[in-house]
Amino acid sequence: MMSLKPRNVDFQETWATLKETVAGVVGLRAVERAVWNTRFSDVYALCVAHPEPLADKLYDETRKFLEEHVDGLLQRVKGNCQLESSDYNDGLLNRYVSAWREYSQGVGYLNSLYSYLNLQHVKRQKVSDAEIIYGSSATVSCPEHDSRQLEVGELGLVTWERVLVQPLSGALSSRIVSALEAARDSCNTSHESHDVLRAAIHSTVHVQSFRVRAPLSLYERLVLEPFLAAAGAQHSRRAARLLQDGDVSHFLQHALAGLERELNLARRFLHTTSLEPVRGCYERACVQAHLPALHADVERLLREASDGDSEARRLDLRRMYALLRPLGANALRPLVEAAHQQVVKDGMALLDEEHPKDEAHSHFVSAMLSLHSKYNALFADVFQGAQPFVGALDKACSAVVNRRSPGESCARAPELVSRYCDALLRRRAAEDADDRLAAAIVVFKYVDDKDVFQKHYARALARRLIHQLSASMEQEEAMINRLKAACGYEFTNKLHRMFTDVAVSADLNAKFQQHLRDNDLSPGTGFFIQVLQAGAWPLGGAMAPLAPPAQLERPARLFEAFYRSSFSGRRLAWLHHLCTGELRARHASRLYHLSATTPQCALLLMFESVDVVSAREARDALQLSGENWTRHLRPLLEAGLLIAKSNDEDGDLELNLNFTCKRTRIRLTCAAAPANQGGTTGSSSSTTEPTHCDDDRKMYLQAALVRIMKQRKVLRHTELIQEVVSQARGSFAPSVAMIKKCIEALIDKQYLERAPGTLDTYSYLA
Amino acid sequence: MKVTIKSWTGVATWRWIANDDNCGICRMPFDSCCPDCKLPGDECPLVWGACSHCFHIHCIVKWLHSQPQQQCPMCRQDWKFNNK
Repeated sequence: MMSLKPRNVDFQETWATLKETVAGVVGLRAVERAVWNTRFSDVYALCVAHPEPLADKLYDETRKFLEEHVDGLLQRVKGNCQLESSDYNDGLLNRYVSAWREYSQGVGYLNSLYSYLNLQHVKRQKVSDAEIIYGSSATVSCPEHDSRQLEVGELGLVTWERVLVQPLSGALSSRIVSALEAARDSCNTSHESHDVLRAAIHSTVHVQSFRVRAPLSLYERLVLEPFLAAAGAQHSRRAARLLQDGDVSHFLQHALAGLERELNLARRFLHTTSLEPVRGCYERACVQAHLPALHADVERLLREASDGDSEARRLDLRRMYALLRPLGANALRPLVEAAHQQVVKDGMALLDEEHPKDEAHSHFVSAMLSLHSKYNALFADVFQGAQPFVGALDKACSAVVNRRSPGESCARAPELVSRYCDALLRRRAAEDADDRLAAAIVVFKYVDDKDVFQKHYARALARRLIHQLSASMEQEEAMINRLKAACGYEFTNKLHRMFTDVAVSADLNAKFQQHLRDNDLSPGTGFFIQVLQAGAWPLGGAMAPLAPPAQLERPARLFEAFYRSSFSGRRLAWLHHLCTGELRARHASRLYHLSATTPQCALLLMFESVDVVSAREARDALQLSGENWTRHLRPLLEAGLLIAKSNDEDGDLELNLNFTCKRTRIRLTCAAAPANQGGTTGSSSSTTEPTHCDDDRKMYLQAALVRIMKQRKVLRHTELIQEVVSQARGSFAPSVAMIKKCIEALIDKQYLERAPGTLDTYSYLA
Repeated sequence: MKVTIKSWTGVATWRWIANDDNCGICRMPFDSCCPDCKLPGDECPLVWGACSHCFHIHCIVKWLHSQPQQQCPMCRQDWKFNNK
């Protein structure tokens, strides 16, 4: 057993035996366990030698030995090769790699043999990580000229780099690059040569792997940079050839395949960090350089891809997107713009297709839906639903939805969408109505003039609620909730109030019936009432007072009295044109059930006793005038119940004694409702609607302006406009001219003033 | 022709009975609500004073709270709610 005590050691003698073993270890020759153990103690003994430790000397001798050894390897690797040639098959790489494998392994063992030296002697001299990262005078200098000692394993690697790699660097680098080029072009080279190539490349990483600073610098200098330079030139040539050879599809296909192959090559041979530089190099040389050529065909590709199911074009677009996406937004922009154009063009064409006039609303909505779903699917398929394309689709859809035909003062979209909803909500037993309403919301979201839509919708809803035309109240409520989700509480609060009124009315009716029973009163006929809150319903002005027929007088008076007693401070106004009477009429020996407005009931009751009534008399009796009279009379004439003897307004009205009708139920009310239906009246309403909305919009804008200015106190013109537009966007798209007018109005009202001394700044006057 | 009315569905609107269009305190129309409410209707009723002036209930209550004397802001008579 050896002693651990420091003692006198003869350096020359010990080193001579040690050197022999070292040579054996580094050369990977067999070393006996006992010898190894003894040499281990020798290293120890030298390091702790008395009177003076011999560690430094041992270190220097070892370095000298390693230098000589590596120099020997260098000669072996060189052989008789032409260093200037770049023929990677001349055996230089093979010899290099086998020498490297032997040496790197041997140095590893040597490191363990010297572990005491490493541990005790070298560690103390090593620089800490912190010093390296934050810099100190010692670390700034280049490691090669650093006189400080390294661990023996590291010393071995440094020696290798300096003595062997340095002189061979040109030769190695050119061989590695040409071998890589060869490996790219043919995948079937034998595995062995690939292994050699990979080992050679990774040796350049390994040699510097212990370095904290720039551990990859040798690899980059020797392998990556020359490779990228060569590859870039190669890619450019190839791309140019591809463009010459065939059309864009050809180019896209091969360019993408080339990229994949390039990445594969990098993955197989290069260091993992090189993937991005390799990809970047390829994209610059192959795609970026040919962007104009690619962009030129974008439009055609999109058009053909959207026509039917052209899988080939879709594949092209998918490839194009895969190539362009990494190049950033600028490279994609023409593609996005072309997508936008394509959707707009297609959408316009769809809307212009022939369709029956009275189906305009369902044509409009279904065309928009099919457009949206078609391109949504296409973009999701070929562009992976990327945000820029979704944005382009949205912009295009809103352009199509809000388009104005020449001669129209505003888009018809709000009216059409609301008519579509109306038709669905009225229809009975349409089991897919729910889904179709949910789909209509998709179109609705693109409508700019949401306030116009709201007006149309509110009118239609009022009609449905009053005449009880809704298919189901749940559906109505669900639709209002959908609108609320899309546009917020403000947008639907009027609609909600209408809903509440209907519920309150039901309650009221129950109470009224109870009241009648309690007081032993009878209204004489079946009676139901809806009491609506003025202002919440878009019903137009109340009608001129009407003398209701005697049969209806009684329930009306009873209810008025009841209402007055239950709610003080409220005044009721009857809307006779909206009331519905259910009549049973025995006429020409047949029984008919008629639904009619109050004035129509009154008119029909007049014919109970006589067959001819003078129009003037009737009109005076009902206290109806002008427009109102014809509005109520016309449905009776159209149904054929009455016959006007002359076109004259005051002519006689005669009961049609030959009246027959297959149905026993006849509805007169609907046609008489004041709101417009069908195409002809629709156009007249769309001219009155905007003026209606204009006033509301001005109020809205002024309120928004005051809100903003109250908060900001002082604001520049452009910022103010931006803020207002963003607030108003939820319900309509305001024009700048209108905003300016509103600002002027507010300045006149002294809410705002132009800040003194500036041209474009406003300030708020408290 | 023999005609009988089987049933009748009446439709009527209601509004507040007021002697003015606007509330004298907040200057908002009586058909709409006071500035603190969101919706007109039962949540924002009107009240009459014994002096025959009428206001949004929220407005007059606020006014009375802020004044040392309980007077009608229009005519300075003592304010009494008119519960007719």
